[in-house]
Amino acid sequence: MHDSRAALDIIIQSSTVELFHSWGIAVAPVARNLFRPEQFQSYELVASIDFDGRGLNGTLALAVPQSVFALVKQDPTRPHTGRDWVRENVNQLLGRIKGRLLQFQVTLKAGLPAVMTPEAFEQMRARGFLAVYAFRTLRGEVLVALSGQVDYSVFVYSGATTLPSEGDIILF
Amino acid sequence: MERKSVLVVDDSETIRKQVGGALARVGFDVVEAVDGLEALERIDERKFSLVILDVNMPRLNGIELLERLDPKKRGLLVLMLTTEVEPAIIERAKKAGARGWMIKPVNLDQLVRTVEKLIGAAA
Repeated sequence: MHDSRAALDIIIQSSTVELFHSWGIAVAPVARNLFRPEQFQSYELVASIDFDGRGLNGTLALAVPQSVFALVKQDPTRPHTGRDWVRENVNQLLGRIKGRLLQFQVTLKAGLPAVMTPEAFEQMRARGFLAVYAFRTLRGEVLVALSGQVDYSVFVYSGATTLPSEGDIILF
Repeated sequence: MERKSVLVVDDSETIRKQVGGALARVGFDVVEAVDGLEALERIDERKFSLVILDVNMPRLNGIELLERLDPKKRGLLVLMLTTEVEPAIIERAKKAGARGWMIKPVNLDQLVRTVEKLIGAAA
């Protein structure tokens, strides 16, 4: 169980680091023993997506301060709005996590991503998260939160797979 | 010379603007649709050289649209652009007539080259 929990932590953390890297933003996971949930800052941009699969169901949320989104907007060819950007990125984050979980025989079905108000995120936080991952950037902290249920016993590592990954283009 | 037109179907404005912008910069006529149902309307209205299609969308998702379209019969090139990597879903799209599968986030230069190559080969 501990190995599976550690595997899920690594999957979520590495997926988040790679996601932000794809936008040119360096993020570093904050070690759990240094992370103080009561020190959460407020987040202007929050989106969530539901997921469901054997042994794993719940909601993944991504919270980003406006100061971090400002780094994305430095590139004038990115005419995004913060709300749509965070919504698309929680979708891409779950996509990365789903892809990595396939190595553990876990197949997830994703819902549609949705923007959350900061207040709704506070309510979700008040109900309690299954896990929270904080990431430090030069402009503030990014948060990834997981709520729901996980049965770690269903995680069965099947070794490296030849699954496609982010950025791949496969022509039929 | 007539500009080739591409329909970009994604519920994310971020993706539509990113992909559509990259294609427009090299001369494509780009039309956007926010989901599968709107894409069906656009496809019924005019001819497109290629469709870039997301999978996870409200109302009508990309796989359902693909199966409803029968792109081979219409002579329509469809490239999927998605976060999905599950082999069964990729296979379903292939069977339904998609010509390719691109996993987000994709390098925009590569995407443009792929679109040009497919349209060029079909011409």
